[in-house]
Amino acid sequence: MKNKTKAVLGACVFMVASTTVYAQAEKDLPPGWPRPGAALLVENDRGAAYNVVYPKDQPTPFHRHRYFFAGLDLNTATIKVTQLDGKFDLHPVVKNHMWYLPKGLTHREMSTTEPGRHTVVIDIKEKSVPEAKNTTDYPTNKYATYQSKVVDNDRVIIWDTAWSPGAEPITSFDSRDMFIAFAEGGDITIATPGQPAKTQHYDTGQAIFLPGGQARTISSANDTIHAMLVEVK
Amino acid sequence: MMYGKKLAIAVALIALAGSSVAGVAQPANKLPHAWPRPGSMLLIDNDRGTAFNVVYKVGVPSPMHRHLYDFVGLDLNTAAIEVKDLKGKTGIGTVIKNDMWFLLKGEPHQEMSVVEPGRHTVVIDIKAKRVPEATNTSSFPANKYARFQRKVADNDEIVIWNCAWAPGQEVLTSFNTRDMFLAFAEGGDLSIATPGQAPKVQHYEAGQAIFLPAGQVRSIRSAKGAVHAMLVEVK
Repeated sequence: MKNKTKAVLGACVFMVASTTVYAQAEKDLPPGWPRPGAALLVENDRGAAYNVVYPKDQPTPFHRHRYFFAGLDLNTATIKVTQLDGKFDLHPVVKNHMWYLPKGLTHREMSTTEPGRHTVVIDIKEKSVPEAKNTTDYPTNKYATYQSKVVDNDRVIIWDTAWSPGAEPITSFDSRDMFIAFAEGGDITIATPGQPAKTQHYDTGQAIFLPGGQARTISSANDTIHAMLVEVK
Repeated sequence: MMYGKKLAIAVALIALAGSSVAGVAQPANKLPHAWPRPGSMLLIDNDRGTAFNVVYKVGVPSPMHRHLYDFVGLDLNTAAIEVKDLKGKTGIGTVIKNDMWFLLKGEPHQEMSVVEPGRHTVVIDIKAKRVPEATNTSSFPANKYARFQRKVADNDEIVIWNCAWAPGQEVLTSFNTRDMFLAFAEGGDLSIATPGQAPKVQHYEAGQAIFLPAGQVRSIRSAKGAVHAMLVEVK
């Protein structure tokens, strides 16, 4: 009986010690990015966007995500996710999938098939800005004829958007700061009433930031452009 | 959720084409079916459906046609398509790689890709025959095909699932209650096993399709490559 108690006590001490070690280890882990394979695209007080590749058989360091983050998968791939305790799982990721994940996730990732995973991720910073009031005659936050809501929570709205050349452009008042990450690139034209339109080429995997509180017309100049548009609240 | 919205866009495109057909009903009735036609390749044909791989070359309009069957589709690339109705009214829409959708028969229209690359799809005409769902007498769950499995559409004709398999994943075994088509968005080596028989491993390319009959227990897994597919249960 005494031995049993001792064993249980020992197990408890071990568990507490292990938990403490894990907790400390989690706290000390680096953020998800920057790291080798992650290229910074945009950073400001609303967020930081990275283009991230996961080469096959090259595990990332163990890391802890410091921010809530949005993501866009640029290809279909297989990813192995390993927890701190060594448990792992394999997941397919699918091209054009858009998603939102909470901060605090702690793990290591590795592509297990070719091509390795390729994503654009956007860390959402803590700063919150009230939505700008639409004082124009334009509708609010209508960016494209192809526009579909993927996520809406207290931090972001993620829209799946696409523009085709020749499609009727929509002018709208953009009430929030936003990031656009390109799933399919091309020449995109952004016009603000009263100013000359600006056309710029963006490749797949790039990202831009557009401030809120402006009327804009977004259109494609010559390609089918597909993007994840993230309104930051 | 991500894929459901694309149905609405496809419907809007077809609705545009069908919006002015009433006044010219007779010519519409005489129009040919959408496929076969140049650019469409037959993949499978049986009493539950017909699958085609279809390319829409830039600047080459399809014949004006009328769909004789309700049909499902999988877009293999991101493209821009001009849809024209019988009165010549046009609209330009965007189609997105990996979009899966269901559309109704009957709306006459003509389509043409307007930018490179031209649209590329797998489409499956759903035949009128209905078959009662097979009773699951096994101890396995019904119709659990993959760990990545999301419902895209569910109506009185079909259920569309967005499925993906990664090699090395824990395998699911399930009883498949309905006949089904698989159309591949991303190919690879797919292993299909039936209890008591040796698994069959076959390579499929993106844009291919297969048919699997109902009433069987199966384990589907990837032997090589991240395999992504539209799985269509036919009711």
